[in-house]
Amino acid sequence: MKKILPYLILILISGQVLAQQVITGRVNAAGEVLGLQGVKVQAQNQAASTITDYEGNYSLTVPGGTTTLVFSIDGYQTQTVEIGNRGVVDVEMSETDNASDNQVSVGFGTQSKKEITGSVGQIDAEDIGSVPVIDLEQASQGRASGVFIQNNSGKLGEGTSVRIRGGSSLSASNQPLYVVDGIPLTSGTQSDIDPTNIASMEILKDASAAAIYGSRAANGVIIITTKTGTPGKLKIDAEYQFGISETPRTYDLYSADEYNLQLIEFTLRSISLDSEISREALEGWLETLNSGSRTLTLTGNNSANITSTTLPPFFDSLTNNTDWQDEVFRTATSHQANVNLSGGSKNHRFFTGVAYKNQEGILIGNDYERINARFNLNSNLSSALSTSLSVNYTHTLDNRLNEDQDLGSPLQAIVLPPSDRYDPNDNFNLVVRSNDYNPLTEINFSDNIARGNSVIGNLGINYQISDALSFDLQGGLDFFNQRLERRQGPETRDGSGTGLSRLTETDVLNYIGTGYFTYKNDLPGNQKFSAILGASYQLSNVETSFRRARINSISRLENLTESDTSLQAIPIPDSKSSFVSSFLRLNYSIDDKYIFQASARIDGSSKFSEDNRFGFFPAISAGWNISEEDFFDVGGSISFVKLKASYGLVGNTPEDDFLYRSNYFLINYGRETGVRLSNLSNSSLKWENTAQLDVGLELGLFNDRVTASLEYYQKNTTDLLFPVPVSLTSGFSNVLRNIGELQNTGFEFNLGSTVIQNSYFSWSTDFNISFNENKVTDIGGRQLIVGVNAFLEDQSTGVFYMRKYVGVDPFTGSALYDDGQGGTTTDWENAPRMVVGDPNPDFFGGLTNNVAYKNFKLSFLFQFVSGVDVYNATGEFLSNSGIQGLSQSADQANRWYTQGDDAPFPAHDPFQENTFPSTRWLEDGSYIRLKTATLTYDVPQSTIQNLGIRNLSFYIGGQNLFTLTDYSGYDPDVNYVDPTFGTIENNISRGIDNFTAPQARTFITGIKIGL
Amino acid sequence: MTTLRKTMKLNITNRIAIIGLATVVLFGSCDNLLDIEADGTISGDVLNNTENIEQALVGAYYSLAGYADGSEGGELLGGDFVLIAELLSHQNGTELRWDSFLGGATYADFMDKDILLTNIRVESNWRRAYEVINLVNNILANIENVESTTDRARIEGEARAIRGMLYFEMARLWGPQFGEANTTEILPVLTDPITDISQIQTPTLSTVSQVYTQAENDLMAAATSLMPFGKNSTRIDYYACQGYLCRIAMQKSDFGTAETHADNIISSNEFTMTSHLDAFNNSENSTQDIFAIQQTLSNNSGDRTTGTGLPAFYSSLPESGLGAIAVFSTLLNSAFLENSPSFAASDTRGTVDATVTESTTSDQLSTAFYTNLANPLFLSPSKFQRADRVIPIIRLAEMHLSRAEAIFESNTAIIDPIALADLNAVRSNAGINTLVAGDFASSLAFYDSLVLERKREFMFEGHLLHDLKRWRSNLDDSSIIIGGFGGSKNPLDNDLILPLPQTETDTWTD
Repeated sequence: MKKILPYLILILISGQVLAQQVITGRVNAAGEVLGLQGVKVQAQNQAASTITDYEGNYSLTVPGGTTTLVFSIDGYQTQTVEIGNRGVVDVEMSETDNASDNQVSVGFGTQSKKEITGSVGQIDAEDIGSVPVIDLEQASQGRASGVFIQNNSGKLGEGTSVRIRGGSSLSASNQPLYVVDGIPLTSGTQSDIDPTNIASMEILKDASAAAIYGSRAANGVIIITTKTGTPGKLKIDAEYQFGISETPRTYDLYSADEYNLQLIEFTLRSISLDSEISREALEGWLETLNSGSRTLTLTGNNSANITSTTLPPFFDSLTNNTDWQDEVFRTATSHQANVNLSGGSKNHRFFTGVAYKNQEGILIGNDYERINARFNLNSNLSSALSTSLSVNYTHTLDNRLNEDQDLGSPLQAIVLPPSDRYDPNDNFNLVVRSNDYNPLTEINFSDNIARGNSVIGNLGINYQISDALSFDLQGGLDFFNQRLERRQGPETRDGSGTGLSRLTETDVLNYIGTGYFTYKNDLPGNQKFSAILGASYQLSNVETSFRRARINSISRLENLTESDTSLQAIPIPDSKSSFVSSFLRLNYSIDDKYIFQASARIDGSSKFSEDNRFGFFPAISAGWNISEEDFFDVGGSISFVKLKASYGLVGNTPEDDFLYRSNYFLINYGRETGVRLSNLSNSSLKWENTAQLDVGLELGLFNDRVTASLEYYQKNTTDLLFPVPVSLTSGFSNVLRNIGELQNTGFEFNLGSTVIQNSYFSWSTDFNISFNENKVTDIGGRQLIVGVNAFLEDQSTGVFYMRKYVGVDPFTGSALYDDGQGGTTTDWENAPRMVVGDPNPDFFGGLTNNVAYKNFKLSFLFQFVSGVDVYNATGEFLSNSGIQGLSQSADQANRWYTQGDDAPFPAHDPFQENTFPSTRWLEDGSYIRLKTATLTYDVPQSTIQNLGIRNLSFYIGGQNLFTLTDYSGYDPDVNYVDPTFGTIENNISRGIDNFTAPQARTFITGIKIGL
Repeated sequence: MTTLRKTMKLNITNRIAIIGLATVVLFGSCDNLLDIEADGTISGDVLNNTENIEQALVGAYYSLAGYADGSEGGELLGGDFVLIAELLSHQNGTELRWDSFLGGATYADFMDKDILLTNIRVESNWRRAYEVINLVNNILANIENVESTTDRARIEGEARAIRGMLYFEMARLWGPQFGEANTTEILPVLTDPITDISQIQTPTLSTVSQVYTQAENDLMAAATSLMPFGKNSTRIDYYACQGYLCRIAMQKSDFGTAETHADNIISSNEFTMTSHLDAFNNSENSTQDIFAIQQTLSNNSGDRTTGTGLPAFYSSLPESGLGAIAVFSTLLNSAFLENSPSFAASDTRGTVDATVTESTTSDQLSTAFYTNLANPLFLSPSKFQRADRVIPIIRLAEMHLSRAEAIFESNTAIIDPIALADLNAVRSNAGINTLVAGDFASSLAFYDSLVLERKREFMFEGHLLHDLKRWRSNLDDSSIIIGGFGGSKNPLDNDLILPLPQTETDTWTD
């Protein structure tokens, strides 16, 4: 907080009290002849305001003492102009890429920041435009309070886990609802929207903001609005960016010698020569081996009383020095380019753009390509009727890698013997340890291609029935087709012999129709009233097909007829759901001081029985702009104060369709078609409810040069959809019922400041930090355990629940575990599991700095996460004292060798087959990361003006430039998602690193031009 | 003019307002918008017509066959009932090595004879068995909805047979040997359907004899219903019921009954012996299959790619398996292993191919065993090599050997010619010499020969565990053991009985 002190000297002086004065003027867009309509002209402290007319003219009566006017409109930079002695103030507005200076999308309309009573976060579209990542969510990391974004993997196109104010559900998705240009998506393709097409991104966090989306808003709503054109000359914006990526770090692995030493130990312990072993003896034998002899001299103090032994002949071939990390990591390049065109007349405005992105992964075999095309058109068909059309098409081509746990995944190579090598002429097989699978074989002889095509389209009609009343009708389409082609050649492990081809096709079709009335009327006495009343219908269908055959060609697989006996085709039922909703929102304010909002939504879902179909989701909120009060000292350093509070309900539905009735899926036995019961009916299944309370304080200091906000929230989920274990004699192991409660509480704090602002130098900062505490408050004493994570009463969701590793028995070298009674035990199975960590962070946030000096701009973002644990499951193989004969991380040389060794790691035991999960691999995953840094040079207007160029800039920058962390793995920003898991398992199993690829460190350079 | 324009505007306004209002009140009449169906799913009370009930019956076969079903699996007759019994009946480290690394970790408990209450295979097979039983109970509860009496008799017969088979298989895996402790409560006998979660109750356990009685009643009723329909080589028919009834009677040492059922099959002449190797890895039933699980490439209990089903473990050929079962070659011909089949040199059931390579396919196998490619010091059995081939459950050879044993037990002093012929039917089929009464020193030597023949014929088919249990129980002979070389095991030991899964008992509220 010390940082704030320097700002305290920046005190503005208030004017004196004078008589009223009329100011007139005209507002133009910079460089345009036409006046700008709809610009809000405001006296300082909001004492009076008006809006420019069709010609851009205005007339405003301001109270005496008014010294400045504030001009603002969507899409243009807000200007504060000194009046001086003038009676006429003309202003030129210059555009901003950040389209919404003060209007914020809240769903079915916009509100000014002042009017907002709910909790709405914003991500500046400018900030995420040029970030060299694939997913929109990745670009948003650290940018908004209350939003915790974790990368699932550094492999390209693997997605992210997003939690707004903590997860509130167990069996339903905890990802937020994405609404793109009014369409709630089911396809998940928001990640693929080109960031340069985005005008604004708003995050509805509390119930009053989100309740208008009722169902599925329990996890928050992210509203994405794409750009629209502005009237005037055709504008062309283009950008090209080149990037180079590399792994942010490498493991310190065994040297060839260290591996051979471990193998000698393995060999001798296998033939019960344990008593001969010590680190010194092994080093001596290694020297013997390196000098060309396989015959080792022993002391004779062994059960067989032998004084020498000879290693097997294959040791002679273990003379290589292969750097396996070097074999699978690469320096990757990326290109991205986009061209956006916008413009239009007064009645037709368009925005259209094409973007192309081609990114190589830092692991071999991983590439991603994407093409976006967008067309947005806004038309005024008459003075009352206007339409808006937006269409986005995306094509993606992703050369994927195998799942992290699969031996064909490149990172699995790090446990291969460094003293061995592979033979490219023998299918990349290892020369000595030929049974170990080399991922290079997989990469070179298989394809794993995902092709995606998606369309998000929306057509809206707005009819202004009267000045106060308008009606909107919108139809939206969200379509996604994905084709997964997986071919493994005869040389690979799975394709062995014949080859194996698999083809999965998924079609997601989601359409929605919405109609709503908007009524807005100013009442006498500075009262404002507005209302929205509407209804919507949404239908989503997901169709999946899968076929496979033991052949080595996707096209041949496609051509196999249904009757072909070599074809394996498995029927997969569609997933289908519909929502019918009606909603109402009322806003009322007095004097802009007291603001009230009430909203209600009724949602009907096809997922529930007739009795439980409809959920009612009301919310109320109020705001008090204290700084508008007469008693408030206008002359002080505090320019704006607002208090707000809200309370409301939102809902969630189960992931599966139709659980209220029994359903039978089609199956085949032999060559006959039959049905199989997929669930027992549960007619009492109902909406999962989340009630949320939010209290917030907003502050503006020094004429809003410093803004701060603090929010506290409490989210209580009741009727939690919980898979209750039932007697297996029902044929099922559990049934979904509304049992249990879950709570999230937290604080969010934002601080923005313009530290320095003058004509040639400026420096501004944005800081956000969020604290969330998540707790399962009641599940009737039940528990769910998934691997090392658990869902337990009175604990955070997904806490780490495993045996506690407490060291090594100095006499036997065995691993010791906490026996739960103050002692230790070597019996892993009988050691009790304990809550030992939490994958949910204590707090997280980001700090953005923007510094501009003349034509140079530097912006950088630090992102941080604290109090989070990561289970480094990779260590179960990579750092396990080498018990499976795998190469190890270098620290494993510090294992126990002989009696008396005080070692951190247990002995190498050739007879132990499994590694037992324990806190041995649980680590603190906190980190601070320089997430992005960009230095931009804007070529001066004087230089480019004559060339007809609007703007031209060059930039260099980087992503994930450095990270401070104690985590020993590649990257603490990790959350491996097991594809064999369902939603419940993945909601519980979190914070796992399992040979998961790190986020790349990327250096970029680019050029932006505007014509 | 002004008036006209105003009217027009109102009209447009009205129209749009009406459309808008209609949209807003949409939800009032929206129940039909919410009553939707998804392709590939049939919902609600579907067992109300013949076609759907027929499909449900196919569904019961589907789960009885244990078609690959991931972690929720449980392969029942399509794998686990065979595999679990086989692993329990062999001694770890002398007869078999089970390589947990090769996808078999969840089965290691059976090899170790130390079955945890939390063993996932025990749990998943238990659950799946009841899934089938529940579906069958649903069919039987709705059987009046089948229109024709002929169809009704057939469907009812097959449904009851499936239930009977499962109760018997479960009784002998989850319960003590019949006759040892018949009043022990082992598992719930459910005959009423559960369709809604409100019907789930804490089940009541039935005793060994109650479960056997249920199994017998079901199969007897099924046999009666199915008799008019004759032989059916993909479904359960009259003969399959007879086969299972024979098995039950043998397990109970009720030899008279066993002989009758075996005789019903043999004397029907519907089945003929095939050479031993021809009895396995077939695309459809061989001529000696009385009941077999049908599998195709699309629909099967799995292989190495799913990590389930018999081929995943039995085969070490890259096309289907990882070779977790590693057979010690000494097992085939050992003097010190009690249950060694002691194959004669010419016995086709004991031949070994040491020349297989990574590129060998199962269709090229012509021996009973081959080098385990994952662990070349060991062997892989040649049975159950491919996921798209039928799994024989009851073969004619079993009826011959059971009838021979049953006849012998009715008079242990003589060597009955029919019994001898039964033995020779199996022997000649395996390429070894047929025997005459004079070849046996005594009638007991003939019995020993029958026992040995069973061990040879059904090796790795999951028979040995149950045979050892009934022999040990019936003869009260402590020399009948598992293994035989250090650490041998009494087949009646409780360690060889599958426990009630902990996930089941955890849900019991009273």
